[in-house]
Amino acid sequence: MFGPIEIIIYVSTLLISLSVVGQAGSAGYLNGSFQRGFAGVGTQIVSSNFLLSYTNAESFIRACFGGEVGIAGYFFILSMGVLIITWVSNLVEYKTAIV
Amino acid sequence: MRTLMKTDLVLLDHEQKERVTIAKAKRRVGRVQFNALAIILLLGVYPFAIGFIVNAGSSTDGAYHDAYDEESNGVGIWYENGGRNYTEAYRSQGLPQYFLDKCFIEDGAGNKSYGTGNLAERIYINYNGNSLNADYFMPYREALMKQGHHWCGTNYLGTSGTGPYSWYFPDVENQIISGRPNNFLTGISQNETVDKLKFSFVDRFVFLNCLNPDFTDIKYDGEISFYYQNKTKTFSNFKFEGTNKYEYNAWNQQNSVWEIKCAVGFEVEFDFTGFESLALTDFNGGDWERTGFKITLDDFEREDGLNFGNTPLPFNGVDFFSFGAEYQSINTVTAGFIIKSGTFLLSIITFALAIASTPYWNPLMKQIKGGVV
Repeated sequence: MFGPIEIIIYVSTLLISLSVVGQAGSAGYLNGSFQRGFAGVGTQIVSSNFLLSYTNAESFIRACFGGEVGIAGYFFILSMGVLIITWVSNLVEYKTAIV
Repeated sequence: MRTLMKTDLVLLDHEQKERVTIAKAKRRVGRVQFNALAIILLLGVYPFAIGFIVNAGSSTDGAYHDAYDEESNGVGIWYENGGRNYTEAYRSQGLPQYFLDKCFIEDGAGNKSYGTGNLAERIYINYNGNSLNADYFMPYREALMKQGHHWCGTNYLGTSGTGPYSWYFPDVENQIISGRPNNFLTGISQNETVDKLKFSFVDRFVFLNCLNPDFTDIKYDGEISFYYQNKTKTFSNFKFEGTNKYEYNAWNQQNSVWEIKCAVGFEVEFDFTGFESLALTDFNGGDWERTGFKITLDDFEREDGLNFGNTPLPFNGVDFFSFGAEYQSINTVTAGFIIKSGTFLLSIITFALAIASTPYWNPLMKQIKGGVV
């Protein structure tokens, strides 16, 4: 069962992995679809596991959502939201997350 | 003359093409650099920054102080002693309800018919009513507690359930036993902000060889709830890993020497993040005398994957176990400043990263003067 915090982290890492694979592709690497798929999935699994298991990112975002960090926490959530929306919109318009 | 002009034009054209190529290359490099920077920021810098914010104001010396101190005279109760599966194990023995009532406890109850009706006397009380001196027996100031099946006697199955195990410690105003004020946390000064709470559970009446195969690596989940003026605040999802071997220096009275002892036991450390500590202080106003709490340990597993069944736990049995409560505090002012200003700074960086990820503003490419801004 995914909570909103896990979803934020998974979406962020998905966008990061798409960006990594896209950049590698434009630099002439990872030309095969299998290689791209493998690298993308691998990057996402490693980065999301890293953020969820080895860092305090989850509890920090949860605290921001819960109001424990005050107005700064809500501003952080807002900024994260803007970042994710920007990257998703970049992905739709320019086929890459970070322009 | 005409030939010269043609050459000039060719040169000019060539120069222009070269300039465009360099600009394109710079733009590509700039984009790759920015992508790399953004990813490093999110996966490299953010975790460290968040870690710094989360641990803001933590005690630097790492020293624990007795939360259960010489003033403590706490009384608590067993709330759950092993879980429903364990209860079923007793039922399957075909014991009459009278014995069953003595062997398991759920939701702080389970025995409506047994004994004097004083539930707390039956399931949990300090052995001598007072805390025992630190160092002499244990490295912490201890309370002796009845093990989970103290009243089960010979009907005790001698095996450990995987949980839940929980203990409830009411505040000073909610006396379970008349005339016995309850307070386990007198060592925490009023208005102090707690960073970590460490509880020790040790079956110190049974010493084992330190290489005894019963000692094994275990993992389990933890939760702690605080109660203050009819409000509850729960911190859950604590994951603990360690061993069920508690090794310590004990004073041998007969030989008058310190010696290393090994007993079944472990320490459970609830390490609160900076903002959790501040939230807890907001919750009870630092009024620890009037704050009750409940500890829950659940889902015990062996690291080697074997069935947990006979794995010894310090609070399982029919005798007593040693219990201690220690704490570390944080500097509230420092923690508050770092948490709020650090989060605000991270927010600004994140917002800037979002804007820089659009084609409208790109500080990195502007700096290397190669790209479209």
